[in-house]
Amino acid sequence: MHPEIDRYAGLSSPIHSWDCGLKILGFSLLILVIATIDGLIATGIAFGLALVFLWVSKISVGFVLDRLKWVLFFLIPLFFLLPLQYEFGSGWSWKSENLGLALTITLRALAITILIFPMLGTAPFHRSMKSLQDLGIPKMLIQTFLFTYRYLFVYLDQLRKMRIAMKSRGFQPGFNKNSFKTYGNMVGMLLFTSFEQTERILNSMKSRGYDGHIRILYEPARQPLDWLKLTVLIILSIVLALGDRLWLT
Amino acid sequence: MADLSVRISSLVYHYPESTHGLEDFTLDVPCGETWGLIGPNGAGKSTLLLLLDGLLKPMSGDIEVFGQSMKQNGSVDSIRRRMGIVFQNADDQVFCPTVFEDVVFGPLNHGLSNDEAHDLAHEALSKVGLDGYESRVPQHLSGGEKRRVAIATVLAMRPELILYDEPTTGLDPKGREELIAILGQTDCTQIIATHDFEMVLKVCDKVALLSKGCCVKTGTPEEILFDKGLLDAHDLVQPSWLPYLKGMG
Repeated sequence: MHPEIDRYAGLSSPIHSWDCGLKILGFSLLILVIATIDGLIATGIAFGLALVFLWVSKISVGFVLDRLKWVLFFLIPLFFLLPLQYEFGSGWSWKSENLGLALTITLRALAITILIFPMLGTAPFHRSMKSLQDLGIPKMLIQTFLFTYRYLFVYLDQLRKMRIAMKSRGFQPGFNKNSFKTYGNMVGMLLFTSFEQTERILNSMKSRGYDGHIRILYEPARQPLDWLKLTVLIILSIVLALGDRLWLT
Repeated sequence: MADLSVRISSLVYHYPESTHGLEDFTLDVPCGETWGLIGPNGAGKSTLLLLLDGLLKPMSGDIEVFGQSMKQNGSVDSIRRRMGIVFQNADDQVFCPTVFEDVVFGPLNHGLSNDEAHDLAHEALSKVGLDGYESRVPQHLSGGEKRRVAIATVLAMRPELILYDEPTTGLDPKGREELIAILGQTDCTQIIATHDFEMVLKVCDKVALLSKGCCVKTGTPEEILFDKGLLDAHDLVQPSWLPYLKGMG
């Protein structure tokens, strides 16, 4: 199964129908604000907002949770380790004031990650990239995003085929020298074969006139409602930023 | 030489650290004809197609397409607007999220308007019998369907010259027959690198036999394919059914 971020791009919701460029602009601003807030209450509100946007976008919660597990893999140890403090003489102690900090960091990271889904998961990925291009993001950066996303699937396909080939010849993975050597060979071969395929894909694109500029059948037709949605997000971002600094500390 | 689609003169190309490539290769392909390139693996068939599409640069010699030398500055882009290439592996050619977006990719990159690209894409899909496949995901199609999408991506650019790299490889008998029918109906100049002698007999007007990077002989499919001694001398095997075909006239 491919890890497509835009698997739910075909759904219908107020976020799906929002102009792609304005949507990216609005959510980027909100994410930026969330990244700068410090207070636990404001972070909690931001987390709640992220959940609301996810609910409005109708993207499957199971799909998001499956992607969040990698973020949680880093956050959970941090959450438990941060309140622990070592002092000479008295050893390890539990600092409850650090628990608030751990919770803030965890909620902030989760809120930002969750907001990525309504931002990029509610339109086909290449349309999002085209919108970034229209917003003036450098072409080189967009190409990097586009090719990383495209070639991720190529690498995963190659990896799947190689694992099948290894299994069919009786490979039993283990924590031993032979397994590590086999994995090393697999990664080397994966890079080699995938590089060749990416070359062929690029050749195919060049032969059809690709010059680094994304051209797709999508013309942004911004309606007043799109601007209204952007205004709402800007107001939310301002209120969250001001609230964190003035009222919620 | 306006009646020539392709004029290849004393072309030389070598891959680094490989014996494969082309050596003093010369060939003229008149407009409107379908040519088959046959030869053993490593004879230079695919290399020749990549050189013709400007994806490789010759070390010496010249290629003229529709009277325009590929040595001229900026000629490759203008030549590419008049030709298309169907790669051996359709997975390298179809990379967009939907069939339709893949087919419009070429026309849009060649500067056509959305409406024109839209019409050409529908026309191309219709030609390859894929009406109704517009919103399908290319990666989920069968091998034969993917190949037809790959051909549609090229037909949508309205090329005057189409290059095919082993188009029947990996297709089931039905898919192969459908593909041969499509090639037979196409009225532009076609150059097909293939091991499929039956397809050559059905589709091609002329054949060029390649061996060790050189063009050994050109002629009608019957002149080349019925000459068992010639095929044997260049590591090709005449199919057992071919002499019977000759006997039947």
